[in-house]
Amino acid sequence: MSVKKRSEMAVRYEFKSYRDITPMHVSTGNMLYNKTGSWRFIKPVYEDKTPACQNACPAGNDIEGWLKLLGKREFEKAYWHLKREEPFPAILGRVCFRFCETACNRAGLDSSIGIRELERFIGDQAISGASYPDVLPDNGKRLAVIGSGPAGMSAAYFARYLGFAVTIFDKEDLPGGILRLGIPAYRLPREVVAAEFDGLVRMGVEMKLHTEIGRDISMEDIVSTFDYVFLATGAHQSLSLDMAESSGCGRIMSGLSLLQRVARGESPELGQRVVVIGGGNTAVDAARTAIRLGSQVTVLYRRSESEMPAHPEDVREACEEGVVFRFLAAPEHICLLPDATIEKLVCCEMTPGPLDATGRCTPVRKEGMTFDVPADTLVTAIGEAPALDYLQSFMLNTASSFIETQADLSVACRLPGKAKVFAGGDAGQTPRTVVHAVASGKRAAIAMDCDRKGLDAANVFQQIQVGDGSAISFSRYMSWLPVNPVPRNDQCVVDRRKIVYDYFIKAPGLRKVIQPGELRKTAFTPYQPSLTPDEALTEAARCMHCGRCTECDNCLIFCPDVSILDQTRDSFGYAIDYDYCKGCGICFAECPRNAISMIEE
Amino acid sequence: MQRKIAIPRELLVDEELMLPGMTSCQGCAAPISMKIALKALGNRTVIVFPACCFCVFQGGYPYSNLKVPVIHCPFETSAVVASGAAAALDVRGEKDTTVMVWAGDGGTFDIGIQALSGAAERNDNILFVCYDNEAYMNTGIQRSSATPMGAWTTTTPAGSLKSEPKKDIEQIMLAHHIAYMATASPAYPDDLYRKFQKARQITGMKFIHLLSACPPGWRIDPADSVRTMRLATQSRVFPIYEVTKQTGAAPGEDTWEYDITVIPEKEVPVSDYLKSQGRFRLMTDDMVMKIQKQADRKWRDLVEKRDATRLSGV
Ligand SMILES: Cc1cc2nc3c(=O)[nH]c(=O)nc-3n(C[C@H](O)[C@H](O)[C@H](O)COP(=O)(O)OP(=O)(O)OC[C@H]3O[C@@H](n4cnc5c(N)ncnc54)[C@H](O)[C@@H]3O)c2cc1C
Ligand SMILES: Cc1ncc(C[n+]2csc(CCOP(=O)(O)OP(=O)(O)O)c2C)c(N)n1
Ligand code: SF4
Ligand code: SF4
Ligand code: SF4
Ligand SMILES: [Mg+2]
Repeated sequence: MSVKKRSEMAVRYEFKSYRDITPMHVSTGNMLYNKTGSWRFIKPVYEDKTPACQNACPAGNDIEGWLKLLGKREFEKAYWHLKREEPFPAILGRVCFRFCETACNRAGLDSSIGIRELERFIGDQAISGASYPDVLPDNGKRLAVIGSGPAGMSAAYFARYLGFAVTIFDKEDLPGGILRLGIPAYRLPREVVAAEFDGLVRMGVEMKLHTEIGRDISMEDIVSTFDYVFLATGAHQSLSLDMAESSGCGRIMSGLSLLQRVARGESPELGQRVVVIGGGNTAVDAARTAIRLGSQVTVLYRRSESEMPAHPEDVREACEEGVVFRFLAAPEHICLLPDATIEKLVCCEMTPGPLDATGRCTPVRKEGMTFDVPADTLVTAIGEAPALDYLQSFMLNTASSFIETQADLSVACRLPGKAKVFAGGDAGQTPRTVVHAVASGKRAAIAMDCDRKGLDAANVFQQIQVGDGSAISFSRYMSWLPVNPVPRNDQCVVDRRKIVYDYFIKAPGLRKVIQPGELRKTAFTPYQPSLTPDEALTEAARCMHCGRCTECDNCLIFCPDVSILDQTRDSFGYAIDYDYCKGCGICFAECPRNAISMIEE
Repeated sequence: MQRKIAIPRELLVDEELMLPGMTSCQGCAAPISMKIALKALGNRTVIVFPACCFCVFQGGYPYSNLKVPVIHCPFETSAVVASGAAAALDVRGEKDTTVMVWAGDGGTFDIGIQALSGAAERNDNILFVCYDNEAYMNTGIQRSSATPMGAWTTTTPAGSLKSEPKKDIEQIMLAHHIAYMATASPAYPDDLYRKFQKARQITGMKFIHLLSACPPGWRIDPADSVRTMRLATQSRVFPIYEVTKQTGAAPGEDTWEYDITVIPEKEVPVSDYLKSQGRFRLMTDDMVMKIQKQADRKWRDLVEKRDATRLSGV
């Protein structure tokens, strides 16, 4: 029934004299003339919002959207929907640090949705052969992407969508950056990286491998040939320990070089006892790699376990595989044997000292508390810095250890050519994770498109902001329709206080099927199986669809003033009959997921 | 997975038997109950109203917003008017029409109780529904015998809050050996729907006690109306159950089957329910403790009776 019709059906009487009143008082009129909507001072509106998960994802992944499609078994649609904001689900579905899951509102009831595993499931579904929909026609501009890690791949992907002619340059002979030469195959199989690259090639991205900028091609050439440049050369220069004795010893190597050698197919001889110094991803992956090469491994870290930059999940898995961690311990010097092999490492116990500028304790040595650690190989993994030699003549601030960027990721530099230069990923100021690298690629691609069109990028970023602003939405930049055809307030985040948990039934989350550490440590093969379709559907069904209407009928059922009209049969959702809605707010309060807002009139 | 409110969808989107434009306060829970009740009863229903908010806000002469026949009657007479209407329908052979009284707590616990007791004792074929907002709301929030202990009303103001416990109308009705007695709450609409459907099919006296939030009388935000009633059940201040007569082989051999039909999604202390409402703001801790004890006792009693029912195999 349409909204207009109801007030037209009012039956009203005006008695001119008592004679008009029937002797038997029978009411034949109704009160539809009484438009109680005039009582209202705040009104309910259907308004989809940003779920906590999407808000926490640096790439602004529309998780709720593709979970909804997955729930309807529309696997392919879910795949393409996912790729609107996050292009590489098969990769991030394996290595992402689960920012979304940490924020997921479901944790307020039982446990977070296993978003990363579901993302991997979707990514693995449709990985090959698919052709890309909606890529815009060529816009006449050429983009050079330097570096084929996740930042470069992402910039290429989004820029290609926007019609740029994209060429990726990489000095290596295989693309992927850390995805291929850092993260070991037991966490990220090479075929997965290769398949995501096939996708880029199918989109029309040109790949120039084995081409080092600064050596094979100069930056001058690049900036005069291309209209835009995206610098995504990562951070591959390992910082070295301050120990003079170490020079010239063949059994001392950086974590990254160990990982690279193994990734290239070598099996370096490490000896029985390997000591790894550091507490980041590189340290943990180097340790787990050394275990797989047959050594006993001890990791020394100068701070406490909770301060480790490595992801706790990876640390736990390393422990299960037999890696021994020794916290609050740092090497002092190395004792070498006459044949330049290592005898032992002299270390010292540390204690948390005064807070530094970042709010972390600076460890200080405990006087006299030294101890020996026998070792055959020493692996140092105390951090990596970008190698920026190729930019020497362009950088304004040559003292900087990273590429300084503006909010739109553009780089202020002394460039003689025509190109505008942007930078992202580990080489820039982006936090060092794959998803942040991907997010930086998206941001830069949109900034370049804004520049091309003469739009103010800051203004555009604000319009396409996801939630409270850490991410931006490519879908909205492209004006693609969301899954729910209803108005949206993407800047409003649905956190736990806005969920009516009473409406949700507790259900156990994913039970992780994972090989035991003893078995895992014998091979570089992946150890965690994909979800089965049944597992994926069961897990997807736990999602509460925060902030997004699911047509659950609660508002329709509870409205005391029959002012909510069903539209689910003809289109989507419900309409509010503002002729009669009194603005009580019950529909708003009883919406389990905060898909209704109350706004002042 | 969402706890879906299980009411047949075709009924939800079907033509409503209750129209908007009523003058009920924002957030009044009574129309939610009526809307769902009418979905279960259908249009072959006659409603008898004593004086109460509902009879006023649904339209005074010459208006009515309910698309079923409605009889307005003097305050104390609703049950007997309903008995008469039921007898008349019986004479005409109209067996498929439900006669329903829809009365406030004043019209049930206090003024209407004599006529109600008579109809119950005779086991007349009517459905008596009390929507209990726990005071005489229409005339400005005066205390009734349904007002809970510790509540503020205009006749139990600060300094002399109601000191007597709420009258146990459910026990009174059960003492009449009626065919069906149930409690229900619009916070659990599918349970409410099912109970009206069940009542419709039972011949004899049916009594349904509905909790009904009243934002101005309870001193709550209109938007919190349903949430507050949910807290009433979660705190076991208002447990949701039903008692159904099982007719015995011979007169005097009837038994009554107890069932707790809503097991709340979580348990909360009564203070959570009480603290959410302005009318209980002045309650002492001592009173809160008493209410907690009463709630615990009532719940234990119900569980015992339900389990006894199950054991006896009815
Ligand atoms: C061992 C390890 C494990 C990690 N594990 C995780 C993890 O599990 N999850 C996570 O989220 N993050 C992880 N990280 C961090 C993450 O890998 C990085 O933040 C991310 O790869 C950065 O991407 P990028 O594109 O900026 O750089 P990179 O991935 O480093 O790619 C840079 C590319 O640029 C190329 N290049 C450099 N200089 C030139 C030049 N002059 N000319 C041409 N090409 C050049 C390089 O060959 C390389 O391919 C890990 C990092 C390491 C080191
Ligand atoms: C015999 C009689 N006495 C008093 C009144 C005035 N009166 C009308 S409604 C009402 C209050 C009804 O209270 P309740 O039954 O609890 O219903 P509510 O208004 O709270 O829904 C009163 C006292 C009346 N109409 N008739
Ligand atoms: S329940 Fe679903 S929509 Fe809500 S935060 Fe978690 S994954 Fe996102
Ligand atoms: S429940 Fe009904 S009357 Fe109340 S605000 Fe919502 S639409 Fe309006
Ligand atoms: S006074 Fe209370 S019971 Fe009466 S219409 Fe208002 S909210 Fe409903
Ligand atoms: Mg009352």
